Amino acid sequence: MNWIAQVGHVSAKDLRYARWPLVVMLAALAISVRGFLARSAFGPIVSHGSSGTTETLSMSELVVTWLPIVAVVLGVLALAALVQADRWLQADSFWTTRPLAPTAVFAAKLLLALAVILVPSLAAALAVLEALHVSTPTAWSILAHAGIIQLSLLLATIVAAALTSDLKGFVTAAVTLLGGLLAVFVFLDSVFEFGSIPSGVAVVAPLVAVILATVLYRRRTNGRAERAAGLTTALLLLIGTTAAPTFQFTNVATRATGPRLSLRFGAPGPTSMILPFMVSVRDTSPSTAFAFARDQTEISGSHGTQTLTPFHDTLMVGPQFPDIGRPIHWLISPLNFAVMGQLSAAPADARIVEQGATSATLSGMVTVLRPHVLATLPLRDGASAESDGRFIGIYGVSHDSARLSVYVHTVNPPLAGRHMPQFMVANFARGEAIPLDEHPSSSSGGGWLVLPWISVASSFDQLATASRTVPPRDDDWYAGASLVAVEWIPVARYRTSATMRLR
Amino acid sequence: MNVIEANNVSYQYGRVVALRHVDLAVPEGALYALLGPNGSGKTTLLQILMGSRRAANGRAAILGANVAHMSARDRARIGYVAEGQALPEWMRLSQLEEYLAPLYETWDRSLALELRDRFALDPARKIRTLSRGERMKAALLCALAPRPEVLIMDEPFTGMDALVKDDLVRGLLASSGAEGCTILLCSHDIGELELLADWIGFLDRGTIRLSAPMDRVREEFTRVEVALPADSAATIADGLPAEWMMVESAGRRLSFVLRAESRTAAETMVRARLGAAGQIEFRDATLREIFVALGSEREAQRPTEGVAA
Repeated sequence: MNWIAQVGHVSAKDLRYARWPLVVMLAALAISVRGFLARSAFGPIVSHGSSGTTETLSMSELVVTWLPIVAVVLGVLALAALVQADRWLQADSFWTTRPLAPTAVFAAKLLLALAVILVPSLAAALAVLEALHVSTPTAWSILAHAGIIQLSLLLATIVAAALTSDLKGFVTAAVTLLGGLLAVFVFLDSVFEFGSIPSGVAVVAPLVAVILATVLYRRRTNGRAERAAGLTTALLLLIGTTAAPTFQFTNVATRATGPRLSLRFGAPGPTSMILPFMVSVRDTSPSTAFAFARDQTEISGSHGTQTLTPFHDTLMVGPQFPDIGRPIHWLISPLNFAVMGQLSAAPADARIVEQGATSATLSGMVTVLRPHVLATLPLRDGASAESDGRFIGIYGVSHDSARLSVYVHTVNPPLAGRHMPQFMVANFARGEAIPLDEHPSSSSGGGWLVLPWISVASSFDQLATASRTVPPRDDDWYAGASLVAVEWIPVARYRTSATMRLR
Repeated sequence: MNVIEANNVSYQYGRVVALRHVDLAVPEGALYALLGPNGSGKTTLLQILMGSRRAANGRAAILGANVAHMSARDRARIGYVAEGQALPEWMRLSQLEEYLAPLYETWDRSLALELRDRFALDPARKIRTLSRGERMKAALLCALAPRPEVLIMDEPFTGMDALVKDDLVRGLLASSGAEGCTILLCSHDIGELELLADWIGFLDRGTIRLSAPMDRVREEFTRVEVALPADSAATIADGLPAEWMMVESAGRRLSFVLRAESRTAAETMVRARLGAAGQIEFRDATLREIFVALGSEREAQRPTEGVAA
């Protein structure tokens, strides 16, 4: 029997051995996918009791919390059992005295981990992302991130299972490793004031694990050195799961220059530790917004120039009403508003600001954004749409002479670099629209999309017209109206800096 | 030609030395019984020969292949049975056979069926439901069905009833004789080994103290029965040299095991020591007597030179 046939032979045996936990794992994945496809996962959860029907504004705990945990735990336990069925560090192990190449036995375990646990999990997640119309590059970036974490976890399982003799021992080892992981972070944080683990660890650790496992399967020795190497590698893999890189397959062009950023100093005064400032961008296009992400601040004055502790915040600057692709009369008077930011000095830097600072220079990245109509839904309870990776649904509409309220439910997978949509109600036949603001009574929650490495956020928002708006009184206006969701899409970036005078 | 060879093999568990510069040579077609007290290193040596453990130093080879780097093809020529060997508990016996058969080009399905019948094993039963003896039979079936060129067995008779043991012994003798299979086994069942073995090795505290063909060992170890003229056996027994082992005395009769190059040499030694001795009878020492004698040599802390193999 050649090497490949041996891999297939051992895999077939292992598949039969672990078929029940694997079937349950696949069932958990299938139920999870069905929950998302049928939208029952999104909520709201309706329950019927003696006191009537209750609607809970949250996603299904079963689908977004428990099923992902069940799928991962069963996958890990099934793989641990498979590895322990043909352990490499046991002198009386059955397979070691049979005509099997050690690397073929290891490859069989790895093959099952990939083919029966990792790939179906990622395929299930892909099915949900596809159903949410997540763009292909974004879906693959999410899957690549989740795949690295899942692969690291499975390799850590292989290593930990091989170092232990039974599932009880494996669980003990797993708990110890997780404790070790916590200890590593506490140690790094307290001793080195460690910020974050380099993402390279997440890429290197699986390679180290595969090499180590191959060597150990070949050598089949169970000395202290091998055990120490195994435990270190498992720990490294777990550390790597916290640093899995986030891939960006959608490239936003970086320009050398762009419209200039203007900063203006606002109240209360330069001696305060908190300096409000106004941001504006010199641009004439009504359909362009700018997001300024500050990453560096320099304060200058009689003391010279001092760089403050890095502080990241993002400010949106742009038209009050987005361009939604057709002529619209906005039933609200525009505000002459300015986008405000806060120049917050950390306590250590406060004295600099207090002692004669005359100007502040803010540097950062400006992202140029264009409006994109994400979805247009008829304005009625129950209307919903999946678009560009988001689920948007209406779970209530009410209006009176003073206010129009639309209850909107949004579900968002991890869409890196994307902004939350803006909502408005438009009657295109009449060429009129009203922007909606978020009401404080919003409720939001989070969960997981098939796997615990893919987060999904849910938000139940009451969106209402601003107090200065008088909504239409005509019921026909609402009958022909639509809820329009607009998202600002990044189209370009450029680095910029601007200086404002404080005195 | 030696089918199994170990040269200068050492192994230790932490600070405990299990094997110390062990040399072993098992000729082709031999049925080699490796004896030794508990903890002498027999199982460790067999595990090293199977490549399950890696020797700290030295080299071991089976059928010319270095055991540390045996290929799947090399392993297919070797059968291995060990007491306490981890079997796939979840499999039915029939599934185990189906799993193993494709791994061996030489797997003999009719032999497997015959062994299953002989051992009265139910193929539908799961391994975890088998008794200790049945597990050993299942392991033996898996080791014998491929018709290996070399068979290594660690305590193969464990848990077997007398009838099956007898049957197994006959089967092993047939394998060794007709098929030229080389067998290395260690067992505490000295009675069975006496029937089986044509070579014997004695491993003590990690060192091979004896390795020789059985007939030479029998020549070398002689049970001596002396009829003394007076009722003085007990007194004489107290003064005998340490090389005279397993000394028993009762009235006028004195009995002991003597290690000498030949029976003539033994008689010379006895006459020289017990000049007044009357009738002296010599008979071959049993394997049990040899085992105990070698053990008592160890107790006396008197290193002896093994007969060169």
